[in-house]
Amino acid sequence: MTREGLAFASPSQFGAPWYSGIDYGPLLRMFDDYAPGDICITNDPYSGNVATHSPDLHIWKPVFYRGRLACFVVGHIHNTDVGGAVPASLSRSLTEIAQEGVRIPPVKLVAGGVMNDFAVAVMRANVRLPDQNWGDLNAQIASVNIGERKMQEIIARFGFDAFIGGAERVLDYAEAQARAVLSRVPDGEYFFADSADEDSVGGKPCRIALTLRVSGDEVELDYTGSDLQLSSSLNMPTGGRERHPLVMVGLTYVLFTLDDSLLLNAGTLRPARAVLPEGTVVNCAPGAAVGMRSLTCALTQIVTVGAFAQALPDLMPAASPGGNAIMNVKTAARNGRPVMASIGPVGGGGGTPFCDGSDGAGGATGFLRNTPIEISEAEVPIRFLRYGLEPDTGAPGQFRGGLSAVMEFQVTAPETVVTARNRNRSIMPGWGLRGAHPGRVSRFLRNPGPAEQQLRNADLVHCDPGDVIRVVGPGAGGWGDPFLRDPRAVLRDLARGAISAASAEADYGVVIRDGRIDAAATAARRARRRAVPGGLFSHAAERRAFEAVWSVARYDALTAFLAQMPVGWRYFLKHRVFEAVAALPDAAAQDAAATAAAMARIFADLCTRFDLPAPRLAAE
Amino acid sequence: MIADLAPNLAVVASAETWPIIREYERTITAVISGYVQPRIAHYLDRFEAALAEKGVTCPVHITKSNGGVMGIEQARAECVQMILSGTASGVIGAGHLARQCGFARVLSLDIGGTSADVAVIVDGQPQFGMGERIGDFHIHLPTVSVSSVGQGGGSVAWVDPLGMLRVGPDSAGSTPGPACYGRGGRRATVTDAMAAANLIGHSPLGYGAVRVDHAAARAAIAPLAERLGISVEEAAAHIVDISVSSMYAEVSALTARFGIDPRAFHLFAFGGAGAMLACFLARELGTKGVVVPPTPGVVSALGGLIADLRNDFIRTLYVDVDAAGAAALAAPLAELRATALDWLHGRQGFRGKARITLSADIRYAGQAYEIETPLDPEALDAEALRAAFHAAHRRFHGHADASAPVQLINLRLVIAGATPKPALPEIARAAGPAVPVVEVTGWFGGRGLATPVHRRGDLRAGHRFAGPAIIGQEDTTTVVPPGFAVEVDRFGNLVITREA
Repeated sequence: MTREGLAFASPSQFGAPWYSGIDYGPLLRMFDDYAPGDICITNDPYSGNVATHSPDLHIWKPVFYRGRLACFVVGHIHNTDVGGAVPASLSRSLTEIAQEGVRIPPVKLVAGGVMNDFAVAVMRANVRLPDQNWGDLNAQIASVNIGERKMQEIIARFGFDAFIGGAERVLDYAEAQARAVLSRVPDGEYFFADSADEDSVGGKPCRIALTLRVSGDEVELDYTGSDLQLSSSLNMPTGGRERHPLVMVGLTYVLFTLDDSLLLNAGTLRPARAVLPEGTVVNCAPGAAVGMRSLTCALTQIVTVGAFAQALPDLMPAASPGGNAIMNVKTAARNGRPVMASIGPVGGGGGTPFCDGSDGAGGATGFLRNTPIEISEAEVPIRFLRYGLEPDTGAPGQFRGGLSAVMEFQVTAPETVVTARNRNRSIMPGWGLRGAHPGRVSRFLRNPGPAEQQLRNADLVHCDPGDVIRVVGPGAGGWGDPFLRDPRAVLRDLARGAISAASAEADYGVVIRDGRIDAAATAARRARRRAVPGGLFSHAAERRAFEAVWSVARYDALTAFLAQMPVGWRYFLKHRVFEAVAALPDAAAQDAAATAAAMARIFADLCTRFDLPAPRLAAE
Repeated sequence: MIADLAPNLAVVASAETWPIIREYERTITAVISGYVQPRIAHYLDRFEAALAEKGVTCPVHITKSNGGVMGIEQARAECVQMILSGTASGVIGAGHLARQCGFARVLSLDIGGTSADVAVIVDGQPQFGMGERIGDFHIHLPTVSVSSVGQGGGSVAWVDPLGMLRVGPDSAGSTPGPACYGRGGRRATVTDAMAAANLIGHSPLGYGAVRVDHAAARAAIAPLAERLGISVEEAAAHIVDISVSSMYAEVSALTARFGIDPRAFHLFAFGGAGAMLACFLARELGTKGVVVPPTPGVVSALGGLIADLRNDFIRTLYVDVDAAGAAALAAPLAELRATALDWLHGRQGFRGKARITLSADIRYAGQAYEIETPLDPEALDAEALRAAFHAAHRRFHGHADASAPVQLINLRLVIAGATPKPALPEIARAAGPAVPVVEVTGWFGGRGLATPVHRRGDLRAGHRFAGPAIIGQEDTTTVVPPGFAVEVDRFGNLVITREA
């Protein structure tokens, strides 16, 4: 970080690549002065809006050179657990930040070379497995100490002034790179929206709406129209900061996809700004629960790709489906000691204009490392029955979506709790592009078979010995008409077990007999083609059914109405509006004026019923 | 069972290839093994037949990625063991020379046309790692740990659309090669930058096969210099700086990984371009100095010749390091030892004394990776194991937690049988000062300096002179920038250090 807090260098080989453009400025400025050897920490999302949920413990250390402040070295680790209402600290069922574990306000962990034992004791006293957190904290301390030494070596080699100037020029260069990419994107305004399945346990969809405005070499990401603040933990604590990393992840991915030589630092984001209305899911008020912000962040990535797909239809892939669950299993080992392990299967990557999506590793979550099942089995008393790729989960297309991973394990100890973070896409799947099929829903089952229990988006499952848990990641959408797919690719998919024979024929129009392509039958089958869905996007039946009720016009009216209501009422009123709209005729049956009138009536009725000030109508 | 169903099908069992916990890592290694095995086995058959035809009767040894050699029978079955043996041989050769000449700690620096390979060598012993990469795949076998960076003499310099000078990753390789070699290359390379700075090409190279065309080098760099608005000599200096900074970044990662301080190490330079660039890299790393052996072009071949018979054995145990866990080591250790001795004396027919080293992959409970910790076979109680691990952890990560529970994942054993090594010849002592054959204007950092050119063959033990200087020989050119001084030791090594 520069002395002002702008990231000018970030690792490219490890870690979540979300924070390459992070600005620590608000945190750095919370202390009046720094001395050599100081180390500061916080995990509080509402202190400076740098930490984004409680498990992320941020650490920063000033680097001095001959008594002058030269830069900061910073980093964060996601602790598996920081206490709170549930193991691993995160659940969409939580409603306020106070339930999401210990909050450590910005504090000097080391000052004048002395460790702040009280801060450490507070953390240890409030988490489930304090030794794990203590190990992570020591790793962080070691990392900033090494970072400090390395920076000092660089400054000694090049000199203080050359270093300071060099850091600025690295930022400038990254900015120029990003501007060069953006200038190749056609100017215009591109709108795209997508929804998470549920805004709370068993709740209503949660919409993220993005209006992307490209002008010359600059871009504006206007999130107006996204859901209002929720009483669940899907909120993102951005503080409205216009380059907050959480709302820029999708943009960073798009830019890097268009030019993989980008440096990726805070300069990359300079040509961009976001509009983040207050009291919304993209900019919640302090106190709101934020634990599951990565689910919402995944949606911001998806809508960013969807918006850019309109600007660059020949370059953008179908979005990775999101909803990749990170699972934790907490149980008692045979010696009674509690143990916990992270596991988790993911969906594939979306099909691209040039090749199939990646199997078993969504493009947007490639940074998550595989935990070998042999390690999980050695750590936790569970037994894996299956871990692999699930056939027919990659949406058919000229270039198909990547296959989803499947994981099935059996619990062998009582009082085992499986937490599945970021469960989504169990109800409404992802989308395809240019005539490809949309994605498939994710599946989450207990005891698959005749008596199976659908767990859908549950994020907390209590298991007994013998219970089997099966998870299939959400399926990724494809790219292009599957009837245009090279039949040899279809044959190869069939031979490898990536698709079934039924899918080869029905979805791709490729007839395979005795392991060979029947060219004549294939030609005939492809000639009797189904109607290719028009338009850039192909949406699943589930999404079309939802939009038959919830047109963009109706949803826009909803968010405009809720934005005028007090923050504490928004979530409650949203659910009442959903109930009322369910009684309306299909959106297609109403013209614009009738839609506006019907929605206005619902809003007015609610305000009367709950004694709230009447809303201004959109037309006024 | 597979042999019954399909007798002609080659079978590779991952548990035999390398029996470690972690199914993906183990499987990918076995798959790579199966992929390369048929072709390599076939090649070895033909190779053996060709030798027999020529009347060569001595047993054939094949170099391994672990820096050792194995008999050809084992090589046919375990081809995957050979995959990184080329770079490993260079490191073994460098390690042997360094130890013979009394350099306890060196970083080997092997620079060719397309890459720079760096390894850590302490007391002649390289460091070992697992999960070294081949393309997109990690090979999980004990391998001499070599960091490779895509920067070599042939790396191409270019100016990106934003006006920034870049070097690599494209390489002109050996064909068409650098522009100054006159083999059709047009793009400016690192070697061209050295030629344009007039620092190479003053004596025959490549045993007369290569002639350096300085004008062609300048012509290749001129358009870049023009776009940057600087002189050709400045552009040449920047090209070298950028190439060297890429190497610096990679070597820094390596030294961090092994927890070493480069200031205690010499750079041991070999390969065609190692000696040309070593001092520039040494300046960035702050190493103690640079060592250029008498024949840098054949260090890898030497490594292959002198490598020991060597094999690795591992057993996954996954035990807590407490009294019970330590007691559980004895039986598997005895088994490993017996298997290893059978390999060396039985399968390889080695008659000499076996050298056995023990280690274990240990971690704090909860960590997702282990540190290979050397073990003293006389002290395998829980206390000693923990102490060894804490020391290793402190060395790698700067701290240790004496109170945290510790887990031992794998027990490892390496057996080696030493092969004969040639003694290094000493060279004659100098009778007078070194006399350069010519003096040229060499450009360092964009400044032209009077630079004497020495012939390597003229140098004698005890010769000492300050940079700038150029030392030419058939297989490489050593460039000594100002601020460095050269001393020739009794083995004929150039020992180059920074002047105080």
